[in-house]
Amino acid sequence: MILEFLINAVGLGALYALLTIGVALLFGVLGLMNFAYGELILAGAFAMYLFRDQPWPFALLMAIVFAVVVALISERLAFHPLRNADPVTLMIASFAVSLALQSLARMTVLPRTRGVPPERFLSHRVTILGADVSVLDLVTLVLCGVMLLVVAWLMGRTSLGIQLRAAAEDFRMAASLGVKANLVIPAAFVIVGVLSAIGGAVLVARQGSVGADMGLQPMLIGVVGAVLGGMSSLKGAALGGFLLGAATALLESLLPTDLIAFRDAFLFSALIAVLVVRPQGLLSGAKVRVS
Amino acid sequence: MLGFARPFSGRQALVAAAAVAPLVLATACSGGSDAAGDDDQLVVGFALSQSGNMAPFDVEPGNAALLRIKEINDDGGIDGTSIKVISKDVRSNPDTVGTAATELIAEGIDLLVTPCDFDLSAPGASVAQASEIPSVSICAGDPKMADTTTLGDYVFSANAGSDVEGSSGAAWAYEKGWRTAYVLQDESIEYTKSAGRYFTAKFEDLGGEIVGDDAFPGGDNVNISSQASRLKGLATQPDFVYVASWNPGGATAIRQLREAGVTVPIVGPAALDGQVLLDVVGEKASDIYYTGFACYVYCTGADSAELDAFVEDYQAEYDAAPASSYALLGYNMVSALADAAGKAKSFSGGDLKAALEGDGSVTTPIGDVAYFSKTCHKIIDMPMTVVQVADGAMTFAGQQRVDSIPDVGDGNSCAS
Repeated sequence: MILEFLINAVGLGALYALLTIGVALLFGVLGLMNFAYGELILAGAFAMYLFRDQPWPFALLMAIVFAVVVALISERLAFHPLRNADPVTLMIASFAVSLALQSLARMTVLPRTRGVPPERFLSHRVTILGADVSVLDLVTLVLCGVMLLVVAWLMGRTSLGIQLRAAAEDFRMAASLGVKANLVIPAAFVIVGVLSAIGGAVLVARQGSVGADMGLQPMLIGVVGAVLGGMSSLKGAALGGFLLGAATALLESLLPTDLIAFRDAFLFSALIAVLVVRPQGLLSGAKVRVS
Repeated sequence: MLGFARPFSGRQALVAAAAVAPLVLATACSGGSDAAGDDDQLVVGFALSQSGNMAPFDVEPGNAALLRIKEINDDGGIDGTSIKVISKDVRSNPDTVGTAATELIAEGIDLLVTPCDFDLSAPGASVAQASEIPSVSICAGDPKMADTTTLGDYVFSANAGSDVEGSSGAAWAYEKGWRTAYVLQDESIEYTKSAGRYFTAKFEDLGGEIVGDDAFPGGDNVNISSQASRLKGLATQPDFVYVASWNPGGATAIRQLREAGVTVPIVGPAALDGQVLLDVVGEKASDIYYTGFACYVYCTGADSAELDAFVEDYQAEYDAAPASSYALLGYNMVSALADAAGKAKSFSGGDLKAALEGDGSVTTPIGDVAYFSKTCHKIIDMPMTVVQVADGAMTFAGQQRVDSIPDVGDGNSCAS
């Protein structure tokens, strides 16, 4: 029972952490509070619906392709021309991108919510150390965990990661030292596209449905998790997302039935309490790039 | 997760403030501006959602209603009077419903049709009530919609109601010999809360026992793994679980119950109806039942020539078959409205209201349905269709009528 709960809580925490670093990465590098993040998740989720009859790994691959393509197109069309704009302008632009993509999806391919049947191997259950856990929970945990490690490796050990971190620290300084904006910014969007595709695929496997507005809540989770952990620190953002997910699972388990409807009220009260003590977030760096 | 049932208003407001409103491409407003309100036409305003999370419950009933209006007009109208429709998209947004209702009333409608949900209909119904124009929700299930004291005495709903759905589910399960139930309550909208409440009351009235209950916030993003493990951890499993929820969240909840290894039968209300339930739960899920309005298209075994004819006409008009049985409610509603309009002395608000409250039994593809009385502003008598979901198919499992709905002390004027 406790192990089941732990796998569930850690799985949800890892998923939320994944969603959160997607938000924090673009905020760090570009100062972009990307509200169109939810629509990248939608693009990935839609691929999972479109290729629901294909093998799951192939659908996942297509989800990554879809989300990355949408991410790059949105960068090129909407954010590239605004590269030197104020963060608030960027944020408003991301609202516009979000709503445009959502409306486009609703008018063309997703006028109504679509169901995606459960994947056979994901709905199996296995016994681990006496606990009965679903393969889906394990896959969520492994997939999100591996993605977090990959991002950590990418940011810490590769030249691209160093450039990204340099750009996040001081974009103009990094640019004058030879970091190419035209490389790092699209690279950041590609990483975010991959993260959101994985997030979207996991969400579809859990929910079984794809709708035009399905990206809103994951996007909000990402933003809230990033604020909790500290917007300018990727580690902090991942921690914030993880804590948000684990706290959600914990509240679901502990709250009496009558109060479960108010779960989010408890969750956000705790969030406010944390932010009163640490307004910069749990692991914030010295400076936060927001005007 | 952030369990908003209708998550849009805040963000839309922000977007509007950012003056990117023209990007809302889906805003489809149609409607004539010519003066209406004269007695040679019955002018009906449709304030329904063409987009957003309530669209799956509004679009098809609206289309089916327009189909019935076309049929009536082609047959010469109501005693020679044709029906004219003015439509506005309310985009699943409560703020828009009130505005749309105000605009429609300014355009001179005689009757207002509001969305398939109490929470969403309420702002529009209140506007119509203030102008003393009858408003009929196309299929809202919450019994507060039918109570003349909550929103007003000009407010109706063309559905049997979640009280009837909950009670029918209880009666059907009891007749099946199931005696212990577990209630899994979706807390997101009034409809699901009353379905659960009336299920519980009826099942206990009949002599059944509720051995436990649990809740989840509902909305678009459902994760009930904790609830499922609590249910699985019970010393003895109940005979069945009543999942008081709606699509797609309810379908997700059922899928997650089955994936968690809960194998007892599941019963639910009509808002689980439709192709999407089948797609979400998949081929492996079995022993799922819900009380819907009809069994057609994606559901087999009802063997009704009238239903087949309805589906055929709908398909001919819209190039697609209805994806849920809510469509039928819209079709039947127009039959009831036309019947009442035919009996009304004039198309004034008061006369139409009196006619709607009069004896109004109409023939529909699922048999005779008795609409509205002076105290009960919803369908008084309609058989519910129990649909079984098993092995990737939906089949007709029977019809269920209830003689009485229990009084749960919520002021429901339709209860016994």
